[in-house]
Amino acid sequence: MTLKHIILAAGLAVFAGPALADCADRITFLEDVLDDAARLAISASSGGQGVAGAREAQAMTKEDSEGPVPYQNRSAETEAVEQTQQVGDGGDALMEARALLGEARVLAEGGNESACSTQVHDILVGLIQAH
Amino acid sequence: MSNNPVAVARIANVSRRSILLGLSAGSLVLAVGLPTLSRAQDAPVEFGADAMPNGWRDDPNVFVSIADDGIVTVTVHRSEMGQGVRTSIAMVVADELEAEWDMVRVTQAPGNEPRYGNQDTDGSRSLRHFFDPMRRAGASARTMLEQAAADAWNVPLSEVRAEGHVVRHAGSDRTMSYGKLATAAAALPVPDREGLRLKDPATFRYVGKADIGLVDNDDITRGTTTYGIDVRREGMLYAVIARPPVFGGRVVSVDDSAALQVAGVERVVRLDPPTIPAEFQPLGGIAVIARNTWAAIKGREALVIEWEDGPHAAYSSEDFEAELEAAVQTDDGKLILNRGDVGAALAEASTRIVAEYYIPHLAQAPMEPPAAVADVHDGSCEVWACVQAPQVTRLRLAQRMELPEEDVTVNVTLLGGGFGRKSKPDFVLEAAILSREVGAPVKLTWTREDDLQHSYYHTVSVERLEAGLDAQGKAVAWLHRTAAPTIGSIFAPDPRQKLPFELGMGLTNMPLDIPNVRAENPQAPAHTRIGWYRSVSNIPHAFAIQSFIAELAEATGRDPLEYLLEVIGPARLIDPSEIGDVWNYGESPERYPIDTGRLRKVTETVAEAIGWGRQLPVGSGLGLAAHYSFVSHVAVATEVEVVNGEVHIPRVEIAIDCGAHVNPDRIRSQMEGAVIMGVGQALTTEITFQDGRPQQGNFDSYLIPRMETAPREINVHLVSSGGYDQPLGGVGEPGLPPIAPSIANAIFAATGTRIRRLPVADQLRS
Repeated sequence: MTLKHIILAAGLAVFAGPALADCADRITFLEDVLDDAARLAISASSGGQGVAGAREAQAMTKEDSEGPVPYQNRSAETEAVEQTQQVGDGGDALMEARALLGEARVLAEGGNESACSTQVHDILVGLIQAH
Repeated sequence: MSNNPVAVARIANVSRRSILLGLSAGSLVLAVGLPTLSRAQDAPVEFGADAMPNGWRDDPNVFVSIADDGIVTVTVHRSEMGQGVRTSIAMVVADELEAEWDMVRVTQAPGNEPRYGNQDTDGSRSLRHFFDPMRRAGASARTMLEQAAADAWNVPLSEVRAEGHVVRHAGSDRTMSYGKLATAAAALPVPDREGLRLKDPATFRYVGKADIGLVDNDDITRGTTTYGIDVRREGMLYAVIARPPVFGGRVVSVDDSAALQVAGVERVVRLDPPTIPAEFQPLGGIAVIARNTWAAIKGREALVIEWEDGPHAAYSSEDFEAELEAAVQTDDGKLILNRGDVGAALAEASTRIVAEYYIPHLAQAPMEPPAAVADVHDGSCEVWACVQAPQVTRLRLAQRMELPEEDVTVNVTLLGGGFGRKSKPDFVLEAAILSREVGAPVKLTWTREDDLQHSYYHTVSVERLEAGLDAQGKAVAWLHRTAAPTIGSIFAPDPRQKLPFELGMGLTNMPLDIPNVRAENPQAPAHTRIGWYRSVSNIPHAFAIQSFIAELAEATGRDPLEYLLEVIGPARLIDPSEIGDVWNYGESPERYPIDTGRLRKVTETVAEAIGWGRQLPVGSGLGLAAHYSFVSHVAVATEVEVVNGEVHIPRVEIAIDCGAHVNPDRIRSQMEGAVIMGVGQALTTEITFQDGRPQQGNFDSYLIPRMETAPREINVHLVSSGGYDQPLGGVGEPGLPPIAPSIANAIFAATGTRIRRLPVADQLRS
């Protein structure tokens, strides 16, 4: 299961669920989803500057032609880098999506449901397409 | 091996959010799908030490040995670079072991993470991640000694107790020394973690005590300890390297005839340039190998090399500063943080304030430059080096030497400072390549000039901040644009955006009590090797944000302390992931929330200590700054005197809340060291580039603080919160970020001149 799947599932919930007919509710729902996904990104990047830097850089650029930068044995690090990529490019996609949801919330609070829904839709599509 | 399991089931706990109740078919998909995001359903999400490569170990047979004479040897697997980790880890083990301190010795582990757990000594993590495992290692060893004594006396384990380096039988008052019990104890199984009895922290004899000296003090004082630069091997040759003066450059041609005429010079060896991304690869160039270092240096001077400078030949700090300044003027940077409606809030604000801050490249400049000895022969590679990341070094050597990892040995010496530079083992690879080439042990020396001109530089950045204030002067809008080359540029080809972990160092995790906040990250290419330097991106973020808050106070006629506390807001716990951070120093957001109450407390502590608000003579002033980093809370108050454009610092008060204290003396020394380093950042240190070349070559131009620029008085306040069962914060790095802004704020108070560009240098001279 990757972020793409989680977002697909969330998208179904957002746009198919009658309880989330209101755009602000959809945003709240997705923010919670992204908060939880952020925990996985934190875990995947891990705590050291070197490890986090290597994993996030490779996850964001999808650069794997030379293989992952080894901070541990090759197979373990390959798995770690894949994990980092799968949880939103090292968290980069989550961070950006959350910020864009903030913009959508402004639209919702301004009563612009249509524009808000479009923005939420675009965020979801963007996340899915990015993976 | 999970210290802090947070079940991923949390993510699927649909009942925790009322909004999920009553969802239709779509929600069922969600509830079923989310748990499998992790490797396995219901597997814990790992944070902290659990999530690091090779995690942690707590096996007493790995970390503790006891000789027949009772001498306890603790194996320390983290690199010692002045932070005192060899002492602190030994204290933890010895305390739980009930060992007498004068019977404790320390040995340094070689690079071998599968055996010792993570050894990558960065991120201010050694005690944060290994306090609990090392307690268990000591407690396990103590329990094994007790069991051995109980067996010898044929009494129940419950009737014996270890204390003072002996095990005592309560009923008969018999005792047996650790030395006599050691062999029998070592043959026993390691006790289960679950049933292990840890000491009541109230009975700690060493942990938390301030009177434990460094285990290496005597050797350091006598000059008998071995740093990387001190290693000697039989038959060793000596090398230095002429590296491309511009990153990305290469050798076109070399005339080594004169070099080979220098007495003592044995060989001249050409090294290939790195592929991009350069990561930890050697930079290439021409190596001179000789019978002593001086001959090698003289031989290098005699080389005639034609260089091709490559794609970064035009890199100029002056031009790049303008490029970064232009980048932060535009609104097309990547959106990285957004809460509320900054655009509307700025439009409606009574006052708008804008400021830009420039923070230059820096070099880690450890007092001992990089140094390594390598001996590659007969299918093996052994090195002795001052490295922060021994396992990374081992893996790189195995890869480069085309050897199995088990045939590579990395012996870790003491480090004469590190600050992140020695996390990158390029210099060890150079030594190994040369040893293989000449078939003898080779000692590679980096001179001071080599280090300053071929570093992994701290990034250069421009931070643009804009705030909207309401009629009462309260900040209601906050727009931050940050442009800087990323550390990611050494790991991937030409990334131009800051990485999430860089942004999580004092930007996306800033606990601002402001309703409308937005941050953007314009692109910035890297033109040199960018690396991590003590406290990393916290340096520019803290300088800009803490300076700007003081500027807002000035603009509104408010007291800077009062204004800073208002921006921090009331005491509260903030889940960093809920304000846009996706790193949190790799730690669990539940265990490590941002605690604004603790940030306020350290701020109030230093303000009181410095006598905030008191009248000072003309030309003197007080400045404040507070910053959260490496999951610790730090504040600084500085007093400056500005005389004829020169800044003098009579006093610095610094307070840290890093949770419970393991080695208070070392926390104090790390804060004191951070202050000195921060004074350099504020006043004098800067790496600049022209024609792709660093313009600083030694300490005559890279001006680290001298005695006359050091503060006359530094007072450290250890603000304690939480016991030893609570998470520990970092210590090695978090002292540094608030130093420079506190000095800049004090300079403003003293002179009315706002410092927006580091270092101060001659900005105050008329």
